[in-house]
Amino acid sequence: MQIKAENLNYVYSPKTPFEKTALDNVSFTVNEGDTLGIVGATGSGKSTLTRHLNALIRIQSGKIFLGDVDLSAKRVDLKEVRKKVGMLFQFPEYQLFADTVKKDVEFGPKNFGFGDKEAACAAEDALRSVGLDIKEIGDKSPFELSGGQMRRVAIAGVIASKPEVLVLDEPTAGLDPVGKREILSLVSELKKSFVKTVIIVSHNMDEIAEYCNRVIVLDNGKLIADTTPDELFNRSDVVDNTELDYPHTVKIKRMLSEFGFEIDSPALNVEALVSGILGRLKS
Amino acid sequence: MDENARVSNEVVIKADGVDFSYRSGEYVSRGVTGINLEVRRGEFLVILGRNGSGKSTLAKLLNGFLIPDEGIVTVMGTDTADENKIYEVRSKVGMVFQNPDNQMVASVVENDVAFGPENLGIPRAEIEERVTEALETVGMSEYRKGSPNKLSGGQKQRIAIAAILAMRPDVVILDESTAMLDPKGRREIMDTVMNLNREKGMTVVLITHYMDEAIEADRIFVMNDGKITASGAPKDVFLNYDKVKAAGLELPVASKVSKALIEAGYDLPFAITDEELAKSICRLKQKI
Amino acid sequence: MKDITLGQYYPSDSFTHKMDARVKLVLVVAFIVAVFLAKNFLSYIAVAACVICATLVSRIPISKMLKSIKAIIMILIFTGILNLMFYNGETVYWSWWRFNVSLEGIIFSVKMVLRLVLLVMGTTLLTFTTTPTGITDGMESLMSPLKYIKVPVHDIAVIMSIALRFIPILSEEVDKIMMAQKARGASFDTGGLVSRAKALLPILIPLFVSAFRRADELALALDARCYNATPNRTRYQVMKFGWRDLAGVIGTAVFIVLVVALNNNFWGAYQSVEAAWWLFAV
Repeated sequence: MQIKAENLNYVYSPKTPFEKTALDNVSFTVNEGDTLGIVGATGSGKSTLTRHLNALIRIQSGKIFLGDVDLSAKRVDLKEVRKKVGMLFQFPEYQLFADTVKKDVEFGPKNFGFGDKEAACAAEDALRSVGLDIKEIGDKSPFELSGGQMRRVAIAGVIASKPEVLVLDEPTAGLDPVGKREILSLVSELKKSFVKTVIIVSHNMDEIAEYCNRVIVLDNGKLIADTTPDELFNRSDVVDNTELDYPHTVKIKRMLSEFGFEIDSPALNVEALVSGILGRLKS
Repeated sequence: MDENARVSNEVVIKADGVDFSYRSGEYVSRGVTGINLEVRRGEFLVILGRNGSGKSTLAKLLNGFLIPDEGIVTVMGTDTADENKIYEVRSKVGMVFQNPDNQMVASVVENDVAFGPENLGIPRAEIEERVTEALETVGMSEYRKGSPNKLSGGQKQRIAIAAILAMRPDVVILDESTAMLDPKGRREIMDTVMNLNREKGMTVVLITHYMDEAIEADRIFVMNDGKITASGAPKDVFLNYDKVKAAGLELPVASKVSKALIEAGYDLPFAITDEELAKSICRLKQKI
Repeated sequence: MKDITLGQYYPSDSFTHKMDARVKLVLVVAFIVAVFLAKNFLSYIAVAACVICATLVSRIPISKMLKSIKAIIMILIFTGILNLMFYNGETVYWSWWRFNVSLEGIIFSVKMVLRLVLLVMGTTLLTFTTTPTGITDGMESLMSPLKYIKVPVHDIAVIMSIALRFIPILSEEVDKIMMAQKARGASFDTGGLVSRAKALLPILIPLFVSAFRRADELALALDARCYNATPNRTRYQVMKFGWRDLAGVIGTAVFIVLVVALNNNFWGAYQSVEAAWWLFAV
């Protein structure tokens, strides 16, 4: 399923002293199979944009197509749209509410019309894919779990309804290095099964560089770049003017080049940087 | 400030054979065991550990929020278990927490910063002076009359630091104060902390799971499963990768790269900062 | 993203904005008394003139003031009709079953509506020109004599201040939780009353959990800042009674005198002097 946004505009509190433009004529396309990164400073419109993708915000002007469904149409089947586009919010563990883990994970599927048996199966599958055993924790209260486990339960709650598109807002915020790795490799695993397209909003450029094949940059509601991570981190004009950061490995690469040690490869992760340095040392 | 003059031999906080566990009813969960550590005046000390390693428990033992089951914690000679002196301890050891939103009490920045000194009964004129100085130290003077609601996470956390500084503590503990921030906010806090320690000579204890925040520390303590499993200067600790890995932490990128190059058979020193790494690679290139 | 302006403070640099919050609180109370003192239309005109003068001095746009009246328009209509129908007047124009519309009824209901409008205008003027923090500080200061009868005035003030700070934070949180549950297919506006109430649980439970977690951390943060360390707590914020406040008090006093005088159609003017003394004594 392709996602296509055309000339999106969005203004908060229009015609008041507090008026604020959040999206300014934004157009882009996400193809099936993409892992798209959305980056930009806080307040650049990233959240407003992602909330449009599953109709949590009504379109003010412009169009969004999910496959052949037009989200700007008068009548849109919201449940169908939200089932297809799963959305994981920042600190998702803060939305857990049910008295047992199992019920919490089943909440989504049941809302989307799964029967009791179907929902139970979906919950079991989802918990398994986030590395949790329903027999062990299914009847526990979600509030008894550790922080990392709670986040995984929350993710299970989103993927239980088997969305084709998964939108993740800062999925690793607040986690320690091990927790971060776990969540990101989980996303990669999901991408190999039913999730066709992943959209990640992140401030962490290391993650964007390592996991995304495409990235769009928002600045004050305007889309100012639609490119690959490799290209983006070569364009210091964009990175420096939007309060973005370089991935740590790219920082080292840039420092090396200042010292006259140029590396040709993109160096988006440690392995790439090391092999680039080794290649140069050997030449 | 001169490097040697900054850290003195005076011990400001001392933990001696400390055990602590959380109890609720019959349920006992592990906190920390066998903790021995000394914080010296002027030092920048980092306690590293993954979530659940006991690092926050340790932090709360250092200012009397928690009282050891076994062993003793003293702050400039005062036992933290002495209930009559608890406010003395807390005014000497200031603590900044994780979520900046949950530690502000007033809707105007300057009133929030003034809250601590007010509680201590400081005369008004001096509070004024302290608020000005504290906001200047964290670079937030221009927001003095504003509302904290409109600030970024990093800015709010700087206000929280200012609010602690206004009590003129001897030690500032930052209990995972960077964990919820974006990279820009983290950088702001680290710059503030470094300035505080290097320029003002403030003793800082930073609790974190980010290795790169530990690079400039005088000493590091690595915690795993409630125990201190490694300690020393950053480079010595990072060289001990197995222990670092066992504690669920990751080496800084520069260390990872230099380690990979050393393992590939190149002769270069183990690096912990980007600059060290870049320089040693260039030197290596010239030799070849 | 959502801009939540607590209360309805209207930022400006006017005369009224710069007045001492305590004085404004007292004057609003005095004004309310004046509204209830007013008996005839002449004195109502005096009260209205008082509000209009105050509005002009505070440079609040008239449209803003009208909006605050619009908010209670239903209450006004209801009050007007009720009084009109049930007032037992002598000059009856129209009558049906128990309802009588009389001249006295019309006059009375117009007065009641006028009274409500004036009350709302006066009190919103306070919230337009004083920040919530200012109001809290002012109340704490006015209540401080209660300390001597062991009312924990300061604790109450800290609680109010914390509440003011956390209302916008929590309302933003409600917004986020709602979005997150909607994304999981929840809907909050379909079904009967019971199912709607049930649909609120996925919002209320996370909200309470979060509020308790915040309260936990806040308690630690209060301790870390030595809250209750000494009974001799000092105050950073000082309020000053300045020339503006004196002018405000005199102005309001003049209007109250006028109201009382007009009530008695000028002959009872001497009584009003007593009322004025009362105000100055405060």
